[in-house]
Amino acid sequence: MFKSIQTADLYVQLVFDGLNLFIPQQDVLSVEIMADLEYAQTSMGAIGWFGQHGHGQNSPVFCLSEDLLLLTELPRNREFFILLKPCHEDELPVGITCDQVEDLNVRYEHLYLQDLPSVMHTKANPVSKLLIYKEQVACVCTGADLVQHVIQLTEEFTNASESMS
Amino acid sequence: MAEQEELKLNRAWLLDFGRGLQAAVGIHEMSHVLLETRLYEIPRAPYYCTEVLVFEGMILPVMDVISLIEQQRIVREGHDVIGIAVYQEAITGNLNYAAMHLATMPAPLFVDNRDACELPKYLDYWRPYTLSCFMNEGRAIPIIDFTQLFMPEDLK
Repeated sequence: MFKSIQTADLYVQLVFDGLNLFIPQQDVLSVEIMADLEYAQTSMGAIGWFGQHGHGQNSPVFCLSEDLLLLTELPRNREFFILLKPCHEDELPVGITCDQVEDLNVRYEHLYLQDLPSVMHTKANPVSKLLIYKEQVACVCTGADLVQHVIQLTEEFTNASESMS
Repeated sequence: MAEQEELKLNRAWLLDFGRGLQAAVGIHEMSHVLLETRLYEIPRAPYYCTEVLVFEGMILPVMDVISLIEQQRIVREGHDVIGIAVYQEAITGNLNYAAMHLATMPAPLFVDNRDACELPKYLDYWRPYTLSCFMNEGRAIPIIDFTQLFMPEDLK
């Protein structure tokens, strides 16, 4: 007997800087290789642009640290980037680099998502759930929350850059 | 003749968080003490609660009470133990578990209700988390409420 695949059980697992981050697969537009990235210094904190997704405009691609802060230098191990679906139709997809990427069905893997303990909630925290995977604690966030978090970081980065210039 | 207050003894744990910070909780409010455990950092969490651990299949937050009280991230030195707290947000609510760094093993003690005192001004930083206070060996010890201690930042 076949088990039906529930979309809500499908996740993309990103690994970067030792952080395991799970994002619902339905929030991810595509997985790309770093060779397809056009590197550029940007005023918003992105490390480059990607323009092959048929939207006619380039998407900014960002590097995040294990503390989910912007890195403006590309770490050596980043091999891939994912494109997150934008929150609104008139916005562009947002790229996030990673060392490894894998798709997982949390039900098949018998992974149990637990709410982030309420004492750990902050306005700056896009992580909403946690899970135990391969004897590690992994973080879970929705694509929309991660995009919103990156937008917030870019605004802070831009403001900081302008105040220094 | 003045009526003497009736002696009432309650069992409690004396918790030592290090850097001179001590507080007490009821005897049933500590579940376990872990001497060795693996901690995991969670990004963008409040500076006083950046870690979690896995305990009996549950992922629990690990509170750094010193950082909370001193209102800044304090780097911990040396080995400490982890206490597992158990508390209820409402009398009919589910049991909640959470963890905290301790400098030493919790010490059992009896609290005599005649030793009750006001929370001294110099311990005012404990006030948001304190239910009552008592004297123990010449020192004022707050009895703390885990529900307040583990409350989310926006509700504190």
